[in-house]
Amino acid sequence: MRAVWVIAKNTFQETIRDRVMYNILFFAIFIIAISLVISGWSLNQQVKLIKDFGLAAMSLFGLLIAIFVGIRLLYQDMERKTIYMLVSKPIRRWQIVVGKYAGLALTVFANLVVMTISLYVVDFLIERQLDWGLLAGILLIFFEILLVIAWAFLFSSFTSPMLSAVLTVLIYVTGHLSPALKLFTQLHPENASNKFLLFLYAILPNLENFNIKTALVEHLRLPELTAPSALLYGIAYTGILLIITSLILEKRNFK
Amino acid sequence: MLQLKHVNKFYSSGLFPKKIPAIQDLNLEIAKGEVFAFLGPNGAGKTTTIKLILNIIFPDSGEILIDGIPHSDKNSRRKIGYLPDQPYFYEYLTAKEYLAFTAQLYNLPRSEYQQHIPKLLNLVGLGGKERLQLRKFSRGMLQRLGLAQALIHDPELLILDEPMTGLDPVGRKQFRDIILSLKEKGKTIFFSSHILSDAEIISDRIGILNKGQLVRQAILSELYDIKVDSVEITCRWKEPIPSAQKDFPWTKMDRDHQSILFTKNEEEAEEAIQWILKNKGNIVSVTPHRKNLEDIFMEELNN
Repeated sequence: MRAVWVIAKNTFQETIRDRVMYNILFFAIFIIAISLVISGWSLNQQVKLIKDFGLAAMSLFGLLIAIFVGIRLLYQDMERKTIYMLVSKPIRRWQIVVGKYAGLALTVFANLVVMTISLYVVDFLIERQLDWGLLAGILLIFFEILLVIAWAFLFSSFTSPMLSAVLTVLIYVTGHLSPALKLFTQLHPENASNKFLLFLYAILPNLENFNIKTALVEHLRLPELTAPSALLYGIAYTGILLIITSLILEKRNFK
Repeated sequence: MLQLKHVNKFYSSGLFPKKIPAIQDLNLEIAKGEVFAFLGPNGAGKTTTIKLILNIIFPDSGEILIDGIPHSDKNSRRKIGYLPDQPYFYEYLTAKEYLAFTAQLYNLPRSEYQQHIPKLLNLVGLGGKERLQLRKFSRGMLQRLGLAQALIHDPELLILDEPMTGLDPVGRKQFRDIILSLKEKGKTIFFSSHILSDAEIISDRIGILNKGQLVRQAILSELYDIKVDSVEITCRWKEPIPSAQKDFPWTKMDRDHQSILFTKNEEEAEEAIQWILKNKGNIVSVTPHRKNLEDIFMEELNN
């Protein structure tokens, strides 16, 4: 595990200094800040709008990190041959995958902390109190980002960055729509393609598991196990993706 | 220290993949403390062989052992220090951070590597650049850092892929000196190179690879025992230059009060020297011409 931690620390150091990361972070903070202006246009909905904007900005931030940093991280290592310097050391390839992933997870966490503070500052300016309930939503956004990054890692282990980016966006979009597949089969039980749709539903991530934004903003009551089960789902799904990525790299000849 | 037994590696390319041999039945054995120069033209398979040894790519058949340990075992790589042909590093890290990162991958104690890093940076000529981010390093500086990271854990076996590439003449001399000092310490060194003069100075033994096949191995000192090709004798005359006899077995070129004689072998050279002395000439120089590494290299490639 020491090698994993060493690689994670190195990846954190590298990504936290990446200019792309700063650009994305500033963009997200800008969206949170601009919500302060836009919320002024709505009557009695200011607080809701700010929270909605803030949480959406965090989610979008995650997608952009997955595309611009997650995909590059492994691919660039292979393309620029920095991976030679790792593979030639007394470590296993899965340790490289897990270490790099953990390093990027740390970077995302650090950025989410900055964004959370920004959101709370903006929220406090309007509401004059702190809504601690938002933290549960932010934690789930973090796990959603981790899952999307795991997909980005998997794609970048065998294909080009451009294709990886397209596939990752596709996964993000279909991941949010996948509950509709199950709903469709329930509404149309006689449909011939139901088996295939259920298969797709099982394979694709259900990112709506992590979406409790509306419930938080509207102060709706959620079933007690919503957050823990989403976390477990995220951990298991991410774990499987990392195992597959490791297996691909384990067999790969680095040219 | 390093053994390659019947190693084969093929590449596939094209729409209908066709197996192209990259390395064919490669057998090599490098003894402990030996400096082995792996020579060959571009595309001969030198870097491929090194990548096979380091498990960066996998052989299709054959066996590779590092100090008796199969190369696929991660512990075998603990014994190796590796400098790739184009060392790329994480550009936002500083030289010190990168070396600390490498040391940690070898599980070295913090106190040990923190003392060791400044010394290593000085050794490779990067003293004072500890805090500079690697994106600001030149090609030569990256090469130097590459050597420093290869030495961080004091490995028994050094694998250097084109170590002199990208270095200026001063850098090349420094690298040669470092390699020679490592040789004195009994380290085993396996390096690939295009620069034959460096190989001639540093190595004990050479191997020439062409089109994925090892076409020649030779101990460098044995190469110098090869019979001379010709002997060049320069002499100066006080008297008018004596004319050459018709049956002289050597060729002679005269200019002012000086002659240059070319003989085919050492025996004829002795006869020529006797003739010069008999005719009251002064011998300025006697230069035997042997095949050098470059001649042997070209000969093997042309074959």
